[in-house]
Amino acid sequence: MTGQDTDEAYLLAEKFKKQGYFDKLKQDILTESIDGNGDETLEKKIKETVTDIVKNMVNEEEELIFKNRGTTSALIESKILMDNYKMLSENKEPLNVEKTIKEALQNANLSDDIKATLEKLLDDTTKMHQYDSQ
Amino acid sequence: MSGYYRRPYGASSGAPPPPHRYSGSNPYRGHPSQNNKASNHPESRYQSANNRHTSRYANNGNPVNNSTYAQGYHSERRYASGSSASHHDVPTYHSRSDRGVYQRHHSSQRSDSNSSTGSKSRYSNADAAMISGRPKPVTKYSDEIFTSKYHYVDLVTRSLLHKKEMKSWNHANEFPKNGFVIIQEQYAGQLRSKLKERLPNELAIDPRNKSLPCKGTQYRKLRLKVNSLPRISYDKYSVGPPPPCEIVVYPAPNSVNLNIMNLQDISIKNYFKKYGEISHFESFDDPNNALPLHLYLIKYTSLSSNINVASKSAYDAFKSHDNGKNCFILGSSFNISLNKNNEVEKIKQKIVDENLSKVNKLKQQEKITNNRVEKDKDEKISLNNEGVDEQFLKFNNPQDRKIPQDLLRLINNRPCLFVSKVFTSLHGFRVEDFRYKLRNYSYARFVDHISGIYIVFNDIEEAKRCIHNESSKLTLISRSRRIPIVIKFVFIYSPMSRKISRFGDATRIDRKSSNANGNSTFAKQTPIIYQNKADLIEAAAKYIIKDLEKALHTDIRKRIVGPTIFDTLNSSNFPELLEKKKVRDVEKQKAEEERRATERSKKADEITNRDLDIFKLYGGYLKKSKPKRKLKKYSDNDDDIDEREDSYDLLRESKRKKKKLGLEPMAHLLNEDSTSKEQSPATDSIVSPSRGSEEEEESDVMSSEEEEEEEDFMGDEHEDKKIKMESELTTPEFVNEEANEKLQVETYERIAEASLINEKYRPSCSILPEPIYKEPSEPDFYGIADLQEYVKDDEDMLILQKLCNMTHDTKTIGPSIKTEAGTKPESDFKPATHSNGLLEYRIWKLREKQTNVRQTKEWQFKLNEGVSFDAGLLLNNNLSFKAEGFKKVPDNLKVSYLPHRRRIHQPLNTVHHHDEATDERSSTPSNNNTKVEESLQSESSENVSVVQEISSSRDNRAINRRFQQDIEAQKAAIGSESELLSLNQLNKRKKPVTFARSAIHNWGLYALEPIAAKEMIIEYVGERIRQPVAEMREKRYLKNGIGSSYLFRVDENNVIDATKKGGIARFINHCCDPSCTAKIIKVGGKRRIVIYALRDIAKNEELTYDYKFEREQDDEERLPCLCGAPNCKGFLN
Repeated sequence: MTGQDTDEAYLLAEKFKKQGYFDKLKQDILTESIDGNGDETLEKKIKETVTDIVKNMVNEEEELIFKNRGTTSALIESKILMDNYKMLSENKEPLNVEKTIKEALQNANLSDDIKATLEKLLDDTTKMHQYDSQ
Repeated sequence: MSGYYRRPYGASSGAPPPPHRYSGSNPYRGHPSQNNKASNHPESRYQSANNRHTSRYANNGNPVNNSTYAQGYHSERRYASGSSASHHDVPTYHSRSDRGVYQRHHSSQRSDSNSSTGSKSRYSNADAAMISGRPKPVTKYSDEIFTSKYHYVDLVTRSLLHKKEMKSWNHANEFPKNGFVIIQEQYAGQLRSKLKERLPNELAIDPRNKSLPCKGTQYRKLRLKVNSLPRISYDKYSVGPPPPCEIVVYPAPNSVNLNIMNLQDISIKNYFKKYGEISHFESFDDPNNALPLHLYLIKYTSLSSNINVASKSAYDAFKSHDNGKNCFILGSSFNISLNKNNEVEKIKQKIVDENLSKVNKLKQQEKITNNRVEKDKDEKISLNNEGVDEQFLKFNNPQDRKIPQDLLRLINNRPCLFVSKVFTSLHGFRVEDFRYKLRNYSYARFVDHISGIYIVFNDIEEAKRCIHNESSKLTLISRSRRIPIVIKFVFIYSPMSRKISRFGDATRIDRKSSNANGNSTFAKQTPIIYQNKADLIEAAAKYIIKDLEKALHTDIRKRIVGPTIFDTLNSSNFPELLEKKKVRDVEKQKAEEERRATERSKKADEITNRDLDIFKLYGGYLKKSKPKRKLKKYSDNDDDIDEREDSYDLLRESKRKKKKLGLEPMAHLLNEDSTSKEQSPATDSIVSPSRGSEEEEESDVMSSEEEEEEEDFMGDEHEDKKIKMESELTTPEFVNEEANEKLQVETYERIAEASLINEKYRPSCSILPEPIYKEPSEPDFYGIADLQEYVKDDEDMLILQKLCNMTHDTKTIGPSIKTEAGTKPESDFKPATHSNGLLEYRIWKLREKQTNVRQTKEWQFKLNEGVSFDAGLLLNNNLSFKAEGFKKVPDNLKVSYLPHRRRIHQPLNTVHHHDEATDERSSTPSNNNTKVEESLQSESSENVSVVQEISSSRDNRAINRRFQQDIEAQKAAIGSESELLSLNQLNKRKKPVTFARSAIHNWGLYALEPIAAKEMIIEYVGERIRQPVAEMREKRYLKNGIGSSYLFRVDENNVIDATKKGGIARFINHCCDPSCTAKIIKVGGKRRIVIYALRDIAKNEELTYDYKFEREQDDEERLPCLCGAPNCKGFLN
């Protein structure tokens, strides 16, 4: 995207990602505890829900397990992902993935953290440039 | 000094004297003192006739007068008179000195000669008489009659007659004696003419008055054109330098020669060869940079080393190009000049200097541009200026070209090169031309628009490369002016917001941008500037959060949800389900098995009725004891279920195997059609070795028997055994009693017993007792080898010996055999066991011989393609071929050793193929039946290869059409007609065929691959001649002894003659039952003869067609037909 090629902010964001902060953030969100417990992370919850769903499916239709596993899993996956994880929320324990994520992202702390890191990054780069020009 | 001269005067020594009347004349006839006029010399009368000779004789010792009038001679004293000497030369004396050459007597006719004085003698008169002793000449005929013609001369007196009346012209001495001129001299103020004596050694002077004025300047006539001077040959008498024979060819100074680098010297040379013979061709290189100057010196010569011819060639070469100005060779223009005064050097120097100056200029330019580039670089901002290099701003059209609106979307802000419509239409350039020229660049597309041609690139680098290399350098030949035109491209690129999004946003954005700027030419990217750091960070954070969200979602999907599902679906997670499934499967299998069992039992019922008595008889002894052993093993197992299961497995396996091997129950086999039935024994026999150990025994038995009956039976038997086997199994466990009642249960002890006997001798179950070894169909042994083979074991040996009434010595060998009564033990007999070397050797020799004979026979058979030589060919005396003498082999016997003579309807092997599969296959017609297996195998392999060769003729035609179009496109691209590129389209449709020896006649045409019906095979190509020419040729060929006719009629007036020139279609022979037919089709307006297939033609089959000759009335003219078809008419015509 040519527009973004010259956008300094974008470039800065790229640098941020390159440093690995981005992935770290992502990881944090996923493994953050919901409900305050040390046990329940978003990730886990999702997994559990999904497993339940699949088991129910199999119980209903036993032939599933004997079919081609790859294709059946792809089909089930797309079914689950439909409509923003609708199925997950319809489960016994409603799990609204979308909401959770949004909340996490809008967390003020998060943005503050990011900004701080960015600033630091900028400072570092300018320092480097100064070195170069000298 | 005798008076008689043997030789005439002055005669040369060699020349014989001419015949002459007075040959023996007396030289002294003429008396010197006679002064008689009338006394003419008798010989004188011949003088006039032959002056030379007679004058000789006329004198006979005396000098002669001038022959013209000297008829009479005076032999008087010539010198008596004191008159002016009339000297006559003495021809004879003169002529004596000239050997044999007589000169005319030159009369030095001085006016005053007096003939009366006679001819002068060299010697003084007195002396003459004394020295020569000859009498003086005398005029004999002095009469009026004779002297009448002499008007001026008196012969006698030898003086002029009217001398006295004559006066000298200068009598009064008026005129100067030595000549004079008339000059104008001034005498007393007047011009007077005066005689002036002139001496010969004075130089002449121009008497014209110099003071006379000219009548105005004489102008010459205006000459509008130069008079053509005749070319004067230069030869040894010419003055001046020789004409030039050399020409100098150099590139025209003011022309743009872009292709000159591609021009090879040889092209120049060939171009100028047409003017004459070139003796010397030199090309010059630039000494500074070793590049060719394209300056050539061509020297002409002539074969006869005639300089004129050479110079004419040079002159022609020079002149034919408009005096050297208009020479155009292969796209480059040259000037020519004659090499006078070594002009070549001058020209060379000039070009070299030019090149040098060019180089210098370029260097300077480069310096300038480098300076400029550096300057500009410093000014620029590195980030913002995308993709515009200094060098190629210059390619920008100063008119600032825009991409037209409708193309905006199409081009989509990609870099493109532009050529204006005005330019292209003027010269007739088309998109294809550009496409061809720019084929080395990876353009995205060409857009042909009313404003011009746009060449769009995806990659800007590529566009840059293209424009660098091609603009102002690429030339296309203009169709209107027919000269190469340089093409300049305009670079158009507006790189901003080149968004190619899937959802069509691009246009919106593009239009926006273009509208905003007013034009979508190359524009700079406006950078997004952030006010302060905080904003920057803010923006960056926004980006990050956005991306985070996206990333999270994808992560969940891919990393969490997906694998979980996959793992959950693993069946081991649901053990109950698995078990359920297993149970179900088992049930299913059971059901299946039961079904099959019921089927089989039904069948078993049928069979048991018929044949199972035998089993009873033998107690179930089978040759196949192995499986029994196996069964024994199984039956020893205690576990019922396992056994059952195993037995199931066994059954299933065996069934599966059976199915696999194609061994179906006989009933099923019988249902299929005969071919498969035929196959089945064969396939059985092939396949059987590959069977498992379970069935080895059975297969042995199968293969050893060939009789159908037995096979059938064995098939049944095999089946029965299987059933029996199974049914045996079932009997103890399953109650299936209907099938089993009649069978006897085999006890295990008997099985054990059976296993002790040697396999060969075990009882077999057949209706009649059969021998263990194969019995030959016919006793065809005729040699010791066969006999030896017959004796298969000891039993046979014993019997044989018995038959031959031989006994053994009880001591030496084992038991004795009683001989029949009356026979004695043959003491001569020495069994082979005794060492009897000679006998052994003999036997061995016999064997060898026999095997040799057999082997050679076999090989001969094979080599002759399975046809044995006819008995009639055998030699009578059986000794030596040479001793036989000459014998004409009748045609019918020739078939046996000449393969190409065999009938055409059987595919022949005269066509040699290089792969072995086909060799095996096409062994012979006669072996076809017995070699079914081989042919099947090789056919399959051949089919594979053939399938690859055969593509449908439709595809072929399409391919050919495309090929044709390709060539036409190339022709168009090259822009010049060339005969090299024209195709014979019909050639493309030709099938692979070849000629080889034929059974019908001499040579024939064979198909190399199978040809479907109605396909075109080949075109009958030959010389196209008119009807009368054809008639004449036919007669001529007959006269010359060419018995075969290769004339093929196209239409009423045209005939194709392939006798001397033609394609291989001429080899197609005639047959009354043809496989091909001829059709006339029009290709490119011309009628052509094409051979089509009437029916499917096999590989290696000879192509034939009906010649359709006219029926001859005269029976003797009819030619017998050799086709051999069943419906053969017997004659060709």
